[in-house]
Amino acid sequence: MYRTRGVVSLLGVVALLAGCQPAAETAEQAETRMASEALAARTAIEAANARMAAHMNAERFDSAAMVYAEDARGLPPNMVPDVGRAAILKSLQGMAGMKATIGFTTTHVAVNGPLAVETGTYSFTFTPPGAPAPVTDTGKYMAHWHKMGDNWMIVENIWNSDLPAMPAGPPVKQP
Amino acid sequence: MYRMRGVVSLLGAVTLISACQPVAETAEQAEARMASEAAAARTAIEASNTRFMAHFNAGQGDSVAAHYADDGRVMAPNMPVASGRQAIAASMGMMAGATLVLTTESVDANGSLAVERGTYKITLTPPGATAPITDTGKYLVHWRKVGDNWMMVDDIWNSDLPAMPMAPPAKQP
Repeated sequence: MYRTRGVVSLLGVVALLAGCQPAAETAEQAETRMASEALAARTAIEAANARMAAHMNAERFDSAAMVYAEDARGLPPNMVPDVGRAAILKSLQGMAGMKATIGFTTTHVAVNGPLAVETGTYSFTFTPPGAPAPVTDTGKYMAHWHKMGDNWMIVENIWNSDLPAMPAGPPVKQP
Repeated sequence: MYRMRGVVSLLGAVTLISACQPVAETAEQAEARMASEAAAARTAIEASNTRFMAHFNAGQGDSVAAHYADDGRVMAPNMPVASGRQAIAASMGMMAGATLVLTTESVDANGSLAVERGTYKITLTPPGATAPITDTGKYLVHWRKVGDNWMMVDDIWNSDLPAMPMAPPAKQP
């Protein structure tokens, strides 16, 4: 009788151990979790974008660059990539004196844990050196974000204009 | 005695149940898992890109569009976003006769979400031009794993080449 009880207890323990293995997340559970993470990340990312725009518009480029990770890459149009925060800061400083006004509007955010992808649109009004009046460019962007500690940081950022390409000028005269 | 054995068994069961709660993944474990997932995703994405280039260079717009998710978006320079496979297939018509080469530089992945960064080289003859031109640049792609396949959700690129100088204003009559 005791032996039978012992066997039953052992079987119970085995069943408990087998039954309590962490179950793999189903696709539906992952989708629900990621949707919830995306909502929280979007709030943080929109706040980070608002701070970055405010810093850029006030020409506080050091502060604007702080939204980028130390090893981030800026991928601007018509230039080779800026690799690292210092190179990104140098590019941002090129906007000095242009009386720029930039604004970002997030359209989509996808998240899984510490990895996020944001797409959005931008509006950028500035006065090029020597130009008599400001010009406005509008376009779209994708930012790849990483959560580092409590903060979301940009690791890669690319954008392009919605405006038609400028017509080519005449060939330069040869001397 | 029996009662004490019962209490001991109960305590044992409670201890077992509490000890086998799913343990949260540490940051180091997550990093190792994501590195492994990124390596697997990169292999699949590079294979997908090889097929994409073959379809693109053969002018098979529908096959090109099938690499995108139903809600995929192409964010091409100097034009608005093309949303959905139908719009994407239509936008490919402008690339007839082009030769495209994609080179993946990095892939970051976590579960069903991945981001790829790479470079491109495209050679095409614009309408009315007498000779082909070549553009080189960089891109980011947001990928989503749907079933066993990685699909493009967002695709954006831009040129490394300097912008063309602006044409002078047209003469007023």
